[in-house]
Amino acid sequence: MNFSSATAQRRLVIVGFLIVPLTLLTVFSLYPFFQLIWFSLTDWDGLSPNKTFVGLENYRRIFVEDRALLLPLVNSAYYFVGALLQLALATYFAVILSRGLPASNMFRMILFLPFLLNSVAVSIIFRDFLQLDGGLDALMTLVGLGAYTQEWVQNPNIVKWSLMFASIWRYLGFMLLITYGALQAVPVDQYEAARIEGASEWQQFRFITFPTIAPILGLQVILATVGSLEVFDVPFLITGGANGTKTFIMATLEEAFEFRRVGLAAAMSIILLSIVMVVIALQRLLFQRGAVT
Amino acid sequence: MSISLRTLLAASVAVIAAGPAFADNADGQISGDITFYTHFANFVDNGRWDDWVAEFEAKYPGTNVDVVAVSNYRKDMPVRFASGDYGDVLNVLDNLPPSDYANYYAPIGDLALRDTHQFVDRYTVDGEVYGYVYGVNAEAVVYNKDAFERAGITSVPTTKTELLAACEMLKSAGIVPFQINMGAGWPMQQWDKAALLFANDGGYYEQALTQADPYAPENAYGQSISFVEELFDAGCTEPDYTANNWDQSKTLLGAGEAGMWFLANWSVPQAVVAGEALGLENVADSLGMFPLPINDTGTPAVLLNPDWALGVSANSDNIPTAKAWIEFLLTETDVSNEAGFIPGDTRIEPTMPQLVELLATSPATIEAGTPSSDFKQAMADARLDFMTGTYIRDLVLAEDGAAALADVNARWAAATGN
Repeated sequence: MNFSSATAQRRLVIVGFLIVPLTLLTVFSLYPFFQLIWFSLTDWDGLSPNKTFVGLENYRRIFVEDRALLLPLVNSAYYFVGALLQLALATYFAVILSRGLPASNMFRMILFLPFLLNSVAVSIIFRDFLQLDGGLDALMTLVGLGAYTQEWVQNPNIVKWSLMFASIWRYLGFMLLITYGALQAVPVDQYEAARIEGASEWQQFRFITFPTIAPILGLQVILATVGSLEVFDVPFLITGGANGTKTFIMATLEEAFEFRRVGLAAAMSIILLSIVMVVIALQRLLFQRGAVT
Repeated sequence: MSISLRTLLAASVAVIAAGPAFADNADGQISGDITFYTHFANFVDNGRWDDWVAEFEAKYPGTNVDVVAVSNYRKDMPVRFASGDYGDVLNVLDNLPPSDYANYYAPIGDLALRDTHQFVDRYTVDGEVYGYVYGVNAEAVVYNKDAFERAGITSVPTTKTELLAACEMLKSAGIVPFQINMGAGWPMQQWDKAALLFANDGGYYEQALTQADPYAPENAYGQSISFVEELFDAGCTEPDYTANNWDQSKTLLGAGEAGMWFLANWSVPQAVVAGEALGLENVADSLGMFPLPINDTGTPAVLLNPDWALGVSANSDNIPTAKAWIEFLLTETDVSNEAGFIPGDTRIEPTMPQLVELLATSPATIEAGTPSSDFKQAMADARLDFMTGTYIRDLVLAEDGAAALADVNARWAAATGN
């Protein structure tokens, strides 16, 4: 190889810099992914050295025989509703905080802080917060609302809302940041023109702000859908799946490690991946301008 | 430049691959390092493992035992199994079907303690022994005598009615009557074991394989679930049942803020340690045991169930030392008695006063039979985590109990082909 030409050297530098990240990507992302697809076509039990190829048997089992395995996906609907609520709140805060009011930097930081905290630590603290006579009950008694304390986690009707609240608390800041960034792109002179014409705040939002940030909101709806399908840490640490809060990923892990059917669990994860990809494809179709700008 | 790099890479890979072979102990000498995965984290805390390791290393100079405590054994160890490296000495995982023991554990039938140990057949497959039990558990109710006194209970309940009445009295005294530790999950396995009490037959598991609906309310398993559900619905159990309060429940029982729990003799030393950590004295004197009154006949039975067994990993590099460690632990130390078991070695007498009190009244005893591979496989196929407790928790918490039981029965029937 001729090392003296400038193109060859440039090529060498590019390849040299790319080799390390590509190797890491292949070893830790691509190889396990293809191995997972391979596992889903076997009946491996997670321990024995032999894996027998069974074709699409696992998939047939999930869709035909054991449809109960797909039931936990219903719980994702609650998290999706919560995520939409979260999006509305994030947009509201983003619009207010982009006005340049005093201390809006500080409020932005306060709202974003929960996202920076470790998710496991946050879930464990929420578990103690929501317990009987835990933090929330103590706070309510202090404020004088002691009569309204509920069984936040024990009551099967309330527990889903409690978990949704924990999830919203954590991810609101992230959505806020993205929406805030999108708001910076709205041209200011349009607001001025509208104000001169006498448009109200709500009309300004509806006709100027919203159409401009609609693609970003569309992106956030995808993120919300994917996130609610894949939710795991919040219910696992707070309730352990009791009271009907088991989610799809928890069921997959249980299938793999307690019932020792790694092949079936791998098929379940591939199915989840397919659902997510279908959702993304749908969104791209429906919101043509939904490409990440 | 590239050629020499390639050779260097190949050479280093070869050295790394050959490395373990150099450390292999094939000549039978008791020396070298072994790793011991144990679930007894309490002995790490009070330093007993260090004492016993020192004794072993003094007896066999040149050995080194590395004790690693694993907290959720049944869930954490299988992950290590999949990697192929799971130490040298470890517990024999009981959620493995016995037919799989040969794949993961080395045969240790040539140890002398085979002749003096109990429950050896449980871990014998095709004539080879794969595990020796720490000891035997008497599954019964552990109660706090001071708590009973404060509630005004004068005698130990021998019928179910008396038990529920005792719960009411404890509740009025502000003491948690009966802890089932649903939040921790694994203590709910007791109701898998209690099914044997309700069936009055140690071999009930094999019988359940032939039934289509062992969870029907009139069959033993169904009766066991109904019993714990009754306790739960009557408010006899702890108010917070979702969080894992295992450590706190030990302290409550030791301090007398809780009345009873249905575990076994191994839980007594743990409650004692937890109580003493609070600064209380003579906690051991205030704990006692009585058989679980499952009905109103007045003559409840005690279930004898072997506890964890020690085995040697099939991938171990130092099998002679691993076997020596097992023999040393089970015959020359009092680990079984300190853990609160009836020692597996028949030559060692049980010393725990609570056990002596329990067995003094000569209650009927039922020896638990070995769950067969078919039974364990059927449990896994029906998606019921045997001896782990999650499905029992879901059954107790189900809003429509009858429908949930029917669903479990349907899964069982599909799994066993009944």
